[in-house]
Order: sequence, then structure tokens, then C-alpha cells
Amino acid sequence: MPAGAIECGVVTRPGLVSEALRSLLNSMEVSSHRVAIGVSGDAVSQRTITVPPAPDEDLASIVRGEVEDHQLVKTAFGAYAYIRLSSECQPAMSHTWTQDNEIWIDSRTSKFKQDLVTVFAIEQETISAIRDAIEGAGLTVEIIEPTQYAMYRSIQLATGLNGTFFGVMVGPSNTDIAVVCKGQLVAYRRIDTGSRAITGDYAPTSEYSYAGIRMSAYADEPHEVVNPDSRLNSLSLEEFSTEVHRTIYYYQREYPDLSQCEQVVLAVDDSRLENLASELSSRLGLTVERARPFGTSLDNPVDQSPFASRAEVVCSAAYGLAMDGIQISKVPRIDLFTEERNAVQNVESKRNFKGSIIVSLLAAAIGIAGVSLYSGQIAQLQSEVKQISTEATQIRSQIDLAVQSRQQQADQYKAFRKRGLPITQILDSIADSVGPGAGLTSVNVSPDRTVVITGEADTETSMLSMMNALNSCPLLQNVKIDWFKQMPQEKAPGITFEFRGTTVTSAQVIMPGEQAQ
Amino acid sequence: MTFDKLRLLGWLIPVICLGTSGWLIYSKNTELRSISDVRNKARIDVQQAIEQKRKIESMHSDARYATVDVTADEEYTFIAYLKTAAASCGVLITDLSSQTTDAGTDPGAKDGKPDPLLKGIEGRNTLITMRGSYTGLREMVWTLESSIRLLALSNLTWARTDHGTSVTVNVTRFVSPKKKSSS
Repeated sequence: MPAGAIECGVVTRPGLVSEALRSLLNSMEVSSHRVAIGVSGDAVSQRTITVPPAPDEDLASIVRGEVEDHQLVKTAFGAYAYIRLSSECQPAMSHTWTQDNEIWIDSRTSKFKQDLVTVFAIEQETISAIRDAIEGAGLTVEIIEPTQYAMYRSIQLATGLNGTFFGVMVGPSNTDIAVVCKGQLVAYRRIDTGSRAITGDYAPTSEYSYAGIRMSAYADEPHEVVNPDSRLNSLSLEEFSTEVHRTIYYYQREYPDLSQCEQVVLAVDDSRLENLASELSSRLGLTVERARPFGTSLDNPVDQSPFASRAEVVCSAAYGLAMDGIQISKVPRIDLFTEERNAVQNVESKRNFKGSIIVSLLAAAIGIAGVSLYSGQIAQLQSEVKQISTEATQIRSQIDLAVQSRQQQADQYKAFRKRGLPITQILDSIADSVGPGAGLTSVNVSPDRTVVITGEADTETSMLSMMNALNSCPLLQNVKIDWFKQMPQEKAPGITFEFRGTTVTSAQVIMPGEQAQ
Repeated sequence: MTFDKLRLLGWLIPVICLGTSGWLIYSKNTELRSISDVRNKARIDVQQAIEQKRKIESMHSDARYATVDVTADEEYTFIAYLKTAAASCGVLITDLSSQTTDAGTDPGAKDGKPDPLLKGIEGRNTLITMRGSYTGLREMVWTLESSIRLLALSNLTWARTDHGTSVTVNVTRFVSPKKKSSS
């Protein structure tokens, strides 16, 4: 990691961290984009508080109130997470040691049982810097956990799921001690001596404030090295071992189930603390062993190689973070990124919701516009259809009237046709009947179809011949002689005559144009 | 409002809006297509009706008819027709007299009741006396008899005299008092 990218456990230059992470992951050919982040105790405050017994669903609101009351989160958007300590191992006397006020609270006379909750708090600037660095490297934050808590998970996985032990997790500036009884975490406290002080490489030179937290800055020169072989600071080591001893002694005394527990498991974050276990063992008079997660993991075979031995000295935190998702672990998750993640998701969700509303409005507008346009066209078409239908009805009505009129005309023509007589045909028939020696004087056709023909003939034979001819005419019927007489002597010799017959109406004669009627 | 509800609403509201809009537009489009089909069918019906009307009007256009609507110049038109026909046939109309009768009853009907078909129709009788050659007179009679408007000829008197041939004939034309709906 480039110098100055991370100072006192806080990401100060996210861009450098992103670049370094990207280069590292590329060189390792890591394909996963989900990362679990450990934050050292410098940046994470921790406190165990007492709360009234409450179900898990109510505990969150109680803890929120306690966090606000104790001002564990100092900045506006800081985050916190908590774990409920197990009450499976009951103390002999109802003493409770909390760090609320760093005093012993004698609850022997208390009428109510109290639950213990350990709260981890982190400031918003720290989380944002981590998120910027991780997302800048193209990764996704899966979880942000205190580094020492991840070490505790590593210790428990290495020790066994139902073990009883004292876990000592050494961080840069402080050390967390987990008291585990039958696999259950019953106490969790912090002492203010860490690897920096124990190794003595760095001595506190000044204090400064970052994000509202008081931080210590360390010089590069070794402060005081008493034991050159182990390169550990004897004063700090003494202070450290005293605090650890006090803690162990207290819990051994107060918890009957822990009175016989002499197993102390150590997890460190600095390779120079490789011999801390033996130093601590000699000072405490107890068996202190270093956590060996790689050697006892359920998923990995025993690896006693020097590399594994050196790696497990400093990788217990990383291992604990990596084992976060394993279901067999009884160590609950402490996710300090929940609030930030929820906040980001909330912002994204609101932004997406706004987008959805805009899309909905656009869809509604398109729908309304479409319906309006279609309705206009439909109304226009309906009007057109109505107009066309009316026109069609009128035309069909006209057709019906025309047909009716035609029929009426035809019927009237047929009726009136009977009232006329075929005069031309009658005249032609009569003229055709006039033979040699005969002639016509007059023809009279009366309305009752009586035909009277008068004429002259040389002889009676000619007259009779003409009468026969008239009778053979289809338009004349029953042509008979009314009279005939000899003409006077002073005129030419001959006879005059008059025929009478009947004729037919025009209805029995086909006239031009009638074929189509 | 929780995140899940917001997310659910974020999906649900646009889906409902899009679905509703799509359904409305689809239904309107379907309605428009349906009405468009009705319009096209109506247009075809109108075209068919117009064609049918045209055929009916063109059919029997040269058919003879019996009656004409009564008009003020009906008699004038008839007399003019007679004069034109006589001139073309070379005959001279020497006498003409008119008489109007009710033509609604068929003279041949036994019950003497008016025929509903002929109700209100007037028979306008004109007795015409013409003089000319036989051929001209025959042509004149044939012209009257074969006129596209039915003219009923009756009561013919044909006589040959020393001055020529004369024909007297009664011409009956029929006039309808009601207006004809179609020509």
C-alpha cells in the first residue's frame, strides 16, 4: 500500500488505495468482485452496555436509544452494529462489568436481569472513504467488520465450535478480549494496548482528531526495547499482560463454568509479535497458544509449512473475514456497512422510484394521447359511416321508388293500352283486302270496336271476294254485309255496299317499344 | 415506506401504467380497425346502390309510358307535338276539339268501380280531323299510335271525298295529377 494511503486505520487517500487494490487483485487473478473489509480498532469504537431483556425484534430500537444516549456515534451519519452476548454461562454473583463507565456495577440486589450488548461504532467519513476506495477499484463492499472481531471468528473456527477459551485479539492500537464459554460469546472487552505499543517500534508522539475521534500519531523510531530477542516493549508488554490477567482472573472468578478454563488463544496482526504467545504465557502462567486457523480449518488440510506458519500470524483477521459467510460459524456477523449500504440503496431506490414515476407519467401521457387521437379518428369514422349509411339508405329508397314507379307505369300502360284501337293496322288490313273491281268509300271504327266499311264494286263477286279477304284478317272479326245496292243508271254500272264487323283493342297488337315492357 | 415496498411500487406503477396505456391503445386500435372495416363496407354498399340505381334508370329508358304529370303547359306541348307530326306527315289538321274525362274507371270493368291503379288519372280526349293523302294520313295515324307516350286512338272515321281523303280520330292522352317520383 502506498505511503500515506491509510493512516491509523483510516483511508486517507482512496484513489491510491483503489489503484493498489486493483493492481493486487489483477496480479492475483481474483475474479470475485465482493470484498469483506476489516477496520482496525483505531477507527472502530467498541462498548458493552446493559439493556433490559428484550426479544431480538425490540432490541434494535433499545440499542439505538442507548447509542444515541452514550453518543457512541459522534458524526451525523455514522454507523453502528451490535451483538447480544450470550447468557448461557451465568455468573456466580450478579456482577456486571461494562465499559459504560469503566466501573464495576454491583447488580446483586437488582430485581431485574440485565442483558449485555456489545456495540461497535464507526464514523461516516471512515465508511465513505472505504467505500470510495473499494468502489474505485471496481469492487463491491460485502461487509465492513472490526478487524479484531474477524480475528475472534478466526480463533473460534480454529479452536472448535463448542470450545471454552479466552480469545485475545491484538490490534494496532488496542486489544479485544473475547470470553467464550461452550462456543458462546459471553463477554467482549477492549484494552488500550495494541501491537504498536508492544512492539515498541512506534512511540506516541502526539494526538490529533480525525472525524471527531481522538487519534494517536506514532514516531518512526523505537521507543524502548527491553528484550532484544523478542523486540517487545517491556513496559507495554507488562501493561498488556496485566490487563489480560485482570480480565481472565475476573471471569474465572465470576463464572463457574470458566473457573477451570486456562486456554488462552492469541491472534495478532503483526509478524513481529510471533513470540508474543510465549511471552504472555510466561507472564500469565497460563497456556497461551497462537491461533492457527489454517492448520485446523474444517475445509483445509493441516499445513505445517513455514509459509503457512508465518502467514497465519498476520492473516487471522483476513481469514476471519473470509469465513464470514460460513454457516457453521457461531460468530454472528457485525456489518458496519449496513447503514451506508441501506442509505445508498435508499438513494438509488428513491432515484429509481422517481424514474419509475417519470416512466409511468410518460406511459400515461402516451396512453392518454393515443386514446385521444384514436377517439378523434373513431368519431370521425363513425360520422363518416353514418353519413355513408344515410346516403346508401336514400339511394336504396330511391331505387325502391324507381322500381315501384316503373312497375306502376307498366301496369298503367297495360291498363290504358286496352282503351285504344290499332287504327293503322286496321286500315292496312282493310286496304290489303280491297281486290280488283272494288273500292272503299269510308271506314268508321267506333269506340265499341264496331267497324263499318262502305265501298263500291263492279260486281257482286268482287264485293264478296273483298268480304272474304276482310274475314281472313286477324284484326277483323265477323265481317258481314249490312247492305248492298245497284248504283243509279246514270252513273257507271256497279254496286255500293256496307260491311260491318268488329275489331280488337290495341292490347292485342304488339307495338314498337312494347317488347321491353 | 420500506425499500422493498418502494422497489415494488417502482416496478408496479410503471407496469400498470404501461399495461393500461398499451391495453387502451390496443383496444382503441381494434375499434378503429373495426369501424374502418364498417366504413369500407358502407362505401362498397353505396357504390353498389349507385350502380344498381344507374342500371335501373338506364334500363327501359326507351319504354313507352301511359301517363305524364299534370303541368300547365301539358296541352300546349301536346298540340305542338301534333302540329310537328302533321307537318312531317304532310297532312292538315282541319278541326280539333278537346274534352276531359275521368280515366280512373276501366270502361270494360263489369262492376264499374274505379281501378286503384288508375285513381285520379284524367283522360284528355281530343277529336282531330285531318285532311291529306292516304299515305300521309296513315303515316300521321301511325305516328300518333306509335308515340312513346301512349295515345289511345279510337272512333276513327276515314272518308274519301271528291276533295281528297279526310280522317277524324279521337286521341286520348292520360295525365296523372300526382307528381311522378322518377322519370
